[in-house]
Amino acid sequence: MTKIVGAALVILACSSFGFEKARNIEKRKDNIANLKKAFEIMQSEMEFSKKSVCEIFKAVSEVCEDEQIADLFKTSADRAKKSPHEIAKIWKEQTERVKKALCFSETDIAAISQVFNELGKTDYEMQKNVIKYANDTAARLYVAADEDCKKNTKLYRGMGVSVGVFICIILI
Amino acid sequence: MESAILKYLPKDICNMVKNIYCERIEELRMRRGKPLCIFMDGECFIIGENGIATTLDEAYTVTEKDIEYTLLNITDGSFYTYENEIKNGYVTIDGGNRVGLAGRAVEDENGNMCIREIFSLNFRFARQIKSCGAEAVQFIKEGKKIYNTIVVSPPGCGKTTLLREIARIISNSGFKVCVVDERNEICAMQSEKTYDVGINTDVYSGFSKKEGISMAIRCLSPQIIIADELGRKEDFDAVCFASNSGVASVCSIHAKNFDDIVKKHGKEKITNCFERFIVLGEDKKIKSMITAGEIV
Repeated sequence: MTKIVGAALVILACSSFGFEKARNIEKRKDNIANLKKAFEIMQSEMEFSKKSVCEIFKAVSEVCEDEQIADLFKTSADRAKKSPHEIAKIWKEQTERVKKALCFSETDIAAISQVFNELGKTDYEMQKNVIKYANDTAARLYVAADEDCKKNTKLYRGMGVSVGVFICIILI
Repeated sequence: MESAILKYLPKDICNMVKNIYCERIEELRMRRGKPLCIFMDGECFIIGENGIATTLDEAYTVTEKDIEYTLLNITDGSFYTYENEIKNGYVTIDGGNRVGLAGRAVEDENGNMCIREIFSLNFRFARQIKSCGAEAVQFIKEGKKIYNTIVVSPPGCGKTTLLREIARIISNSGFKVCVVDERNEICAMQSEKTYDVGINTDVYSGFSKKEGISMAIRCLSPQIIIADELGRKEDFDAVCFASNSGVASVCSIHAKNFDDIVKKHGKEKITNCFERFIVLGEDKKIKSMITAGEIV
């Protein structure tokens, strides 16, 4: 009886690990899609309302459906209001802060954290390019995340269960 | 009390200026690669780490980073939102303080010149000096009539401060006043702390004088319109339009004396538009007050 319970626990643990990994891959894809949406909102806010970066971050945080992304923009807005000369640095720090919660990979963070290096520092025409670059980066990351999702979610789920069963067989 | 300007400055510069800050400071000048300096009572003082420096070696040299930092601060980290002001060579910040810009000009796709690379920043400390307008108001007001008036002085001699005071006194005495504040300097409406321009004053902030004056006449039925720094022909046309619509104007213009504005804009144009002339001296006091009748 103990062996059966132990085996069940091992399989359960390995499966949940596999399922968790798969869920993170899906979450990463969804979050990149949400971030892309946020960049698109930024684009329209800048184009039609000519708000400052700080106000744009705040506006995005208010309409963003995803809590983590909203928090990323809200905290960035609060900090940018206090130190408007440090927007690029603030964005970098904040993306680093939320990378775990958003399930972003190191490559994602490296790309996302530098999209706003020139944000607010140039005229409107150049700013359009900055937002376009952010959008393109998010689109590129989304394609990679989507591929990763298609390729690896099933694999992780299957692997979780299989590894659990395999360990049980060895132990029994 | 510290000026609202200090919060925009890099920490080092802020500390240096904070130590010597007083009500007499008129301007703070930051020029790339040059010593930091302030103007007090019309005189230039260079600033070092220990306050006012006596030699150039002690002076703090402004770096490109200082300029970039300050520029980002005064534009709320959003240079693009101030594009129009920057094209005109200034940004107005909290408290109606104006920052003048100098730099490299580039031409945009429409052939308009604008400043790209900023070399110098000039902070002008705006102040409200209540009671400085009493004498002027006495001169331009006769019973229920306010004469079309122009305040004449070189830059930095207190034109805007005087206009602000005239607006406050006239407004509080029951006239309907409208201030067309193109550069947000007279009333500082975009700031947390605005200037007192009277209880009966409406403000058009950021409007050009032409648009603001015609809109005021159409929408607010003012008795007096106040506008700062006439310069272009369309500004004079707008004032004449106001005058012909039965609305008095109190404006200001850059010139050393009355003869200068006559040379620049022609006697006929000036006397057609204005009936009272107030000339300010470099000591920021009223130098002379002339009526149109006195002009030969």
